[in-house]
Amino acid sequence: MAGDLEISLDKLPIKRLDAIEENGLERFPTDVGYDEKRVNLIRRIDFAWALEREDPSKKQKSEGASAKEGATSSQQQWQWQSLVENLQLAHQELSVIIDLINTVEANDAVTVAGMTRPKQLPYEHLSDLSVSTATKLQCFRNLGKYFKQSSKALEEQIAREARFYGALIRLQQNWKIKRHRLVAAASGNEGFYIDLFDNSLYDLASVFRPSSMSTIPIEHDAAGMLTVNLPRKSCQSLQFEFLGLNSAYNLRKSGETRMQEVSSDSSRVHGKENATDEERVTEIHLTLREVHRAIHDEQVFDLVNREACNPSLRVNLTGIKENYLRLSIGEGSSVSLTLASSGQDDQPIVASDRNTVETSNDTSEKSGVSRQLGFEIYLRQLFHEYVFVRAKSKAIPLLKSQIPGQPPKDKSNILGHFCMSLAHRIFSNKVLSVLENLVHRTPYVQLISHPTWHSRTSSWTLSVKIPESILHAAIQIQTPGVGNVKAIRSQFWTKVVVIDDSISVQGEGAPNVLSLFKGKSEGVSSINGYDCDLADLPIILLQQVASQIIQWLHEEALTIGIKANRDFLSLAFELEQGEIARLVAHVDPEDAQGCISWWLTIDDGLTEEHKLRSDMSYFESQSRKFLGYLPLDLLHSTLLDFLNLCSY
Amino acid sequence: MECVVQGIIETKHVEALEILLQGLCGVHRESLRVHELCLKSVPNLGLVSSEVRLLCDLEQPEPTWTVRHIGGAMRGAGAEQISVLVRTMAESKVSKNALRLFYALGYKLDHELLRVGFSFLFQRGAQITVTVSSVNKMLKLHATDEAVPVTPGIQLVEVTSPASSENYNEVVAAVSSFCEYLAPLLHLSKPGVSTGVVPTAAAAAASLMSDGGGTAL
Repeated sequence: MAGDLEISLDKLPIKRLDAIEENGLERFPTDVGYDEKRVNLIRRIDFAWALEREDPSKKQKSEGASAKEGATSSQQQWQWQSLVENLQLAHQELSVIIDLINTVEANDAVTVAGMTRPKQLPYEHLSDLSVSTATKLQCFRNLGKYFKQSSKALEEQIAREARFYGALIRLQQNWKIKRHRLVAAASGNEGFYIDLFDNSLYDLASVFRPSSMSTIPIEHDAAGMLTVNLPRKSCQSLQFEFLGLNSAYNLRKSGETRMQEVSSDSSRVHGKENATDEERVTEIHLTLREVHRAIHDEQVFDLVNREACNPSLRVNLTGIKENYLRLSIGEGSSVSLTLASSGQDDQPIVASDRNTVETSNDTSEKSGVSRQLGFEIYLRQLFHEYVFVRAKSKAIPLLKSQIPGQPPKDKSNILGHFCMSLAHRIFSNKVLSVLENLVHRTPYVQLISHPTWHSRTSSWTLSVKIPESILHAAIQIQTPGVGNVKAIRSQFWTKVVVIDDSISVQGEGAPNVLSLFKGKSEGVSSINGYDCDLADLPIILLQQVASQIIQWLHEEALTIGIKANRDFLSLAFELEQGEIARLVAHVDPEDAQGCISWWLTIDDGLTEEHKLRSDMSYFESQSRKFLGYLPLDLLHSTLLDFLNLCSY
Repeated sequence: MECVVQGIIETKHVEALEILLQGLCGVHRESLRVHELCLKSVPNLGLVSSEVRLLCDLEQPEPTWTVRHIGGAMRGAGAEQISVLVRTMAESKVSKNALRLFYALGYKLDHELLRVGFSFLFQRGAQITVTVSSVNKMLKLHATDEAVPVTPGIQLVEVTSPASSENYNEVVAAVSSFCEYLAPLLHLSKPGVSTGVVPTAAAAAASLMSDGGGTAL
């Protein structure tokens, strides 16, 4: 009977070939799922024969059972017979089951789902329980140890994180901190980064080249503290230099000192691992500010670049390199703008060879540095004010105040304004030195400077002041009847205004040329104004001052009763014999003694052309005498001398 | 009216401040040497006691005189919130006889001082005047040549701007935005509210004296 039983099970779980094609290509059956596989496996067991046999045997059994009830006492042998049959059947079933179990054991594709165990006796149960409890206890102990360890580690971890996030929160108060989830997953970092790009400048964003520094990744250092890493070299700063002036080395020197400062700074950071969090955060703030400034500098440089390329009023681009611009601002002076990296590679060399030059004139260098620095700040400041601040303020009330097609006027020409301010400053310094030179050598002239509130305008006043002593003396000499007629002016002024590079001189006391030709002197005290250039300035000012003094002498002469006629730069007195004595002012800005000197000429009143030539002649003759430089009191006493000579 | 803020700076950082101001203002600095005489009215003069200041500008070749009256500061919740003091101020040029006039009127000299320093006058949203000066006292009456500093090593920085009741808001904004630029070097506050020197001043000054001074921006 056992021979009839056939179970065919697929023992190999490997894939079987479905077919091999003619070209040798092997075909595998499509993958089957686990459930399907199990169903397939079960299907392969052919229970058909057992079922067929079972049904009749059941019938037989039920027949047998009924028959057994019917004839238990009468048919004893049948009873045994049925037992045998039942045993055989049982054996059969058992062998099937054992076979099945064996097969299942041999094949790991099928698992035994469950098996009921015989019920244990209480003591067996207890011993089992105790064993498992002991094992469990051991496990719990291990687990406890593990938890202790991991709690310690976690505490450390939390402390580290607290440091990190504490610092992060404090940075967040001042900086825009963002997070990249993708980066976080990839690098194992949290993926925080600091965004230094200013969103409010969005409309300017197209202008600027994207800076590599606008996002700065935040990292953990070994101690769990927050660090920002950025290559030092990428931090660029704007440097401004005057070219042509001998202070070109100044900024190089300063660049060097700064760099040293930076490097010592960084070494301090690295050396001081045990610096407090406070200090570390401050350091980071500083670094970030530095970067922020570098970005701003880059942007300013870009804007300057952009503007420099547009032809503008006063600025000429004369040189361009990478991160270097050279601009000519007129008057033969030029400036350069460099976007220099504060890296350590090339700087020291430049610095060292410039160092030798500078030791010689240390004093002039100081003012040079401050001036250049001042302009450097001014340039940044201008762009900040007119581009960045404007852009920000425009971003907010955009709705109402935007008029299409009307570009902001000053935005387009900031560089022009800057260069003109610069040129003006250079020029006005020249003018000032001319003025100071004049004032230095002409003691009765005083220089007053006026605030103009504008970077491209300068203004000074030259005032000629007649000392009180002379005036008082004059009053004493005056005869009472005449003296009250007219008060004598004691002060004359000449205003010098420089706007950009044009000088205008405005002064009183100079005679009006037109009225001089007409022979009248009424127009004398009117105010004259004229433009001039730097070369003519000393002459014009001296003429102005000289004519003011002549004006004063004239008024004085009239007051004390001398008949006098004034000309442009001379005062003529009629002497008793009909001769005419002239006091002629001679102006010479180069004269070291005094810029205004005086001639005395005497002619017989017939040769009129002397009047015109007199101040051009440099040699003395019988009729002319060089008096040299005369202070005001001497001039005044000379005038008094004429009082005796003059005919009444 | 005028808007005013004050601060102090150590003398050793004044040079750096000058560079910074030069850059921020774009104008040339003006030297400053002012003899200031504070006069107070005697008790029976007028309904309330008054105080005027006579300023004698010694920087000019010929000293020029100004009389200035500083009135009360603006008060109220709005004034509390702004960081700039707004006060009434009236000033006028006067002749050199002004001191005699005020003595004759019944004013008495309360104190006098000499301010020596420099100033920047520029247009930036408003007409702003920045004055950096050391305040000196005179040991003898009117002896401006023998003045000694009141606070050696410390100078006074004052930012003022004329304003009117209509526009003082804009002026206050202009002044306070300007003050922010000076922040690393000195802190400016309402007169009477002392904030002392700024701890970052030394670093900021060093960076201004050595490099491009970008920290200010």
